[in-house]
Amino acid sequence: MDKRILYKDPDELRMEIEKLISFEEKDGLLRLKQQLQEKTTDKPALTKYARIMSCSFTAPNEETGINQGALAQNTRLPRVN
Amino acid sequence: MAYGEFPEISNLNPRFRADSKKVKVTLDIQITETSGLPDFSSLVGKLIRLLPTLKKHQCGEHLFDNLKLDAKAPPMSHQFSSCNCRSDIVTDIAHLMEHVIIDLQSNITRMPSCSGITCGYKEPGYRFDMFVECRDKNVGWFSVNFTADLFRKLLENGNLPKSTYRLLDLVKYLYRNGSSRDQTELGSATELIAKDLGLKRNEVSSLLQKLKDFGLFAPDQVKTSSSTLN
Repeated sequence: MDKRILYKDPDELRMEIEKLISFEEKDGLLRLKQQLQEKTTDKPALTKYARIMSCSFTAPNEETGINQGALAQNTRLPRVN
Repeated sequence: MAYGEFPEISNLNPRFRADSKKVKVTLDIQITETSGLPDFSSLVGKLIRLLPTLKKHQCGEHLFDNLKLDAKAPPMSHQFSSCNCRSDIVTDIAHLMEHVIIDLQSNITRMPSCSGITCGYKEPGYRFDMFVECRDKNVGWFSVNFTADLFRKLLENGNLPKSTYRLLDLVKYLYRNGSSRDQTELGSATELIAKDLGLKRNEVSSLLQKLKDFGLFAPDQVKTSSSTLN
């Protein structure tokens, strides 16, 4: 007969299971849980954020078509690299 | 402020280029209880007059939706979101600042594309980390400091002085002429710059000093922490 059905109270069942798990096993399970949480959130460093918004700008060709090398060559100003 | 690749956030905007360097800034934005809420339509309209390419930005949050623009401002496809509480406004201001930093980077250094993210803290709710792709660290530092100053002026005074426009003309001119690295080298060229930009010599000297204060020439020497807008 399956022993589990004898436990009617879920808390009682939980306590019985905890007794069966050794301290070392519990520690290992906690670490496993932590690793899984880190994988789920991908980057734990980001958990401090409530909201992340993104944006970008792609310049139309005519606005990036300036040849900066040519401009720099023609300059009369002092150049510092 | 910091400068680097920040791989931990590289997946948060699919438009980030692989291994691109970014400028990171932590910013506190506080609107005092006594001051009225800012008029966002007017704010964005003024920003677009200064930086017309803002209206061409792609925004994951549709930040510019439903904005009633100032009649003098050019029309735009995106409009500002409807802000109805203080935290929404603070968040939208932070995100708008990121757009401005992106626009400055793009226009000064002629980046073909520039992307960023704004990360709002759980606590405190007025704190944000921004990461913006940055081709040139000096320009990155300048863009962040200039943007903080720009928003402070707009939110406190409502208007921008002509020197703000001239400052942008000057920084673009210097960058395109390969002279955005050393202020001392430019001292002898003040007259030439004044002539090229149609300014007075003392105006150029004053603007060069401002650029120095904003970190264009020696970003590591600029005292920065998180900027606070009151």
